[in-house]
Amino acid sequence: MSAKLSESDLNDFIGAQVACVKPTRTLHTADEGDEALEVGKEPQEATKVSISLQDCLACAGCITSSEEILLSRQSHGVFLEAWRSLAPKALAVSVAPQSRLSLAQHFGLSVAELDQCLSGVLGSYFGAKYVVGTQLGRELSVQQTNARLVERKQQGVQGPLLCSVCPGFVLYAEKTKPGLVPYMLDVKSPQQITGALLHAADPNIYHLSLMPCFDKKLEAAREDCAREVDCVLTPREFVALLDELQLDLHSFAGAAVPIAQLTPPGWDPRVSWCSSAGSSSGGYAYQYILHMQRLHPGSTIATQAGRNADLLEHRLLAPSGVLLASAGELYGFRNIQNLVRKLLSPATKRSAKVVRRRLPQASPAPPATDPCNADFIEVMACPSGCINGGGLLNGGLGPSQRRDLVSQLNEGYARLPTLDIPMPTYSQPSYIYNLRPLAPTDDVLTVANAW
Amino acid sequence: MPNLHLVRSLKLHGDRCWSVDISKGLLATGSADRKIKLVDVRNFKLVEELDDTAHKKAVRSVAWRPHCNVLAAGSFDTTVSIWGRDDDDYSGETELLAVIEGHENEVKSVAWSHDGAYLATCSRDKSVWIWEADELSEEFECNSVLQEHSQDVKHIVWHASRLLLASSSYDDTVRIWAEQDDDWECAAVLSGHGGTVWCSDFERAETGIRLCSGSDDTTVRIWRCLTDDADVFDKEWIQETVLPAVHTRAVYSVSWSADGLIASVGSDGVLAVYKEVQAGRWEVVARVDCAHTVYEINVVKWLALDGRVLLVTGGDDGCVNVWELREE
Repeated sequence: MSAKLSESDLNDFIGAQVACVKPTRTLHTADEGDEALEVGKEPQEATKVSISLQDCLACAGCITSSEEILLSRQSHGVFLEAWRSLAPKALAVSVAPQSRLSLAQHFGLSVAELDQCLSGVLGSYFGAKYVVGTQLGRELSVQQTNARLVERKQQGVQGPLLCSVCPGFVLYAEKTKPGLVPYMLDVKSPQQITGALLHAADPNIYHLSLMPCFDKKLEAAREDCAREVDCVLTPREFVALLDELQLDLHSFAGAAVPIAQLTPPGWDPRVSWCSSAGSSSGGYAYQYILHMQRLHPGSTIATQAGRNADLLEHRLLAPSGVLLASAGELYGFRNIQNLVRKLLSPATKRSAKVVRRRLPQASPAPPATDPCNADFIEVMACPSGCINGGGLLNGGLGPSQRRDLVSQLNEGYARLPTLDIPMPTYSQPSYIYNLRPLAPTDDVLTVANAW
Repeated sequence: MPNLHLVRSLKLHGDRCWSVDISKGLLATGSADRKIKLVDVRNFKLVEELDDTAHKKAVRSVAWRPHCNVLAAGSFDTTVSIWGRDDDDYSGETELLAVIEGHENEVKSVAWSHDGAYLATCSRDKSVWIWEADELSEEFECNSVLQEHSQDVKHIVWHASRLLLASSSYDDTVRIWAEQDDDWECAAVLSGHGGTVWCSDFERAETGIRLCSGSDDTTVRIWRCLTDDADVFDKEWIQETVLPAVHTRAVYSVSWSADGLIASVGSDGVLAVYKEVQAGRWEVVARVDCAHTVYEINVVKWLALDGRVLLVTGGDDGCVNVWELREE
């Protein structure tokens, strides 16, 4: 996987495979009617086999080298080309809140100003029929997640379920740690649900999604996500697109198209453009606890920091102190590794016996905060989560500058308006992935020597 | 001029000896024959052979945890095993305490920080992992996964008194890592070698930070950290000098003694000792050719024992040789 696709200096990407051999395979077209073999003569031009995103996803070896393919399949250039010959389809654009925050920060605008400019450039220049935020999709994702967790809790099933909204983590599990797949909750991400809703509202659209992360392109290309998202661009690529078209985003402030005009019929724009309480990665963990609190009047929420900045646990406690529900936020490769080790116990794989010794004086320490033991874990591959996504406008920053930017964007995220009316409960079809372990492959070329 | 005398040659392994480490009078060895052996350095008697079903492939690296009877062993089977014994008198059996998984392929080196709090591991998967160990050496939490090297990471070593880690790589660089907030980050990249860097070692000095490194380019180089300010995270390092040419092939291992001597071994079978005769000027003070007959030498470590200055080398002949540096 993963953030390596971002070309960024993010040091927490997963996967160390070197190169996918698939793109290097070439087809030699046989010279018809020329049977004589000439020594020293190069064969005629080799035809390079093109490789689709589907090929990359089906290959469980490496994804890192698919960077070029990804960029070629869902690049801003490809989008432009598609956009120029879009008719009779209409353009629909969905924008993630992290992308809005990053663009606002980049252009020195408030989020409200950015939204104006964005609706201006998308509505008037690109002629988009619909421009929506992703909160409606997120709301459905949250509601379906909560329903599944409650159902599971009522059945008394133990052990954590893992959030599948981060495509980096989903791919890592499917390709590298198949043992995790049974732990994954298959509810789809806001990106995909938003896409499904848009297509349901108007089947004749081309859907562009502005997402904080390059891995979202992989998500859009999944077989179980067909006809939801046509192209994913990150804020970085969107800025490159504007540059290429020599568009000054600021100049569209006055050209703003009223958001209501860009909202599909039957949608409440207040819902699709608002945000919800919880982490800047979507708040799935906190939203589950809030949901459980509504089911348990009088209960209180206790939030505890974990052993590092990328671990947090929310606990719902009854007035008696009994633990009613718990949910963790767990970000970054290092924490994912500890989760993997806890869920897929390594000792069982070994023939040698691992000795467990006891402390001389058995003093049972209170259980330290460990999100790995929660009912539900919001897992994100990037350290700091989606607000630090590899596609945001954070390239070229050193680690400490990047941390500063993350805290700045997090503050902005916390200020995003949340709807003060209760969210309607949606009775939509279930939006679920068909998660499955992908067969390992030897198709990976490694160049390091054996020592 | 001092001279190197072969004190003992121990035929311990049926295949190449990859790694040695010495602590509290106990020499541990790791080998391509998958075995880990423990030898009492007072009499060079084999004390114990650890359960060789723990690893499915070669044991590439062994390291004692400071201040306790705990050994870490990294293997080409991608895992790291942790071994421990309750006593100091070698009467009890050494038991497997934990197996750490995480690396995608061959583990190349394992090393404990001076305070024993952290275990670092590196691999052909190009990553360096830092683990935080509990007191019993049973629970390991991954603290950081460092992926800046663009190739196979060959070797890692901690500073003897600071929380500084150096990693050597097939990408021809050494990287220096330090703790920043609650994570580890790269504080410097040492570029200059014209080939794979196989190994490095910090100078054992309280003032100033220097590192020596050995490479496929046949040289041993000394690097110095110029940034003394603890508040500045990114450190500036310079290449201070290249040690006098001795080796004709890759240098696989270097070791910096507490007395300031550097030893190097390599593919050419040469064991060399260098001394800094004045600041920044080094001379070869001893050398042995064919120190493991015709075989390559994979590792060298200094051992101070009862006032004697010893060197321990491990070679492709499966032997561990013990050398004494004597003044003539």
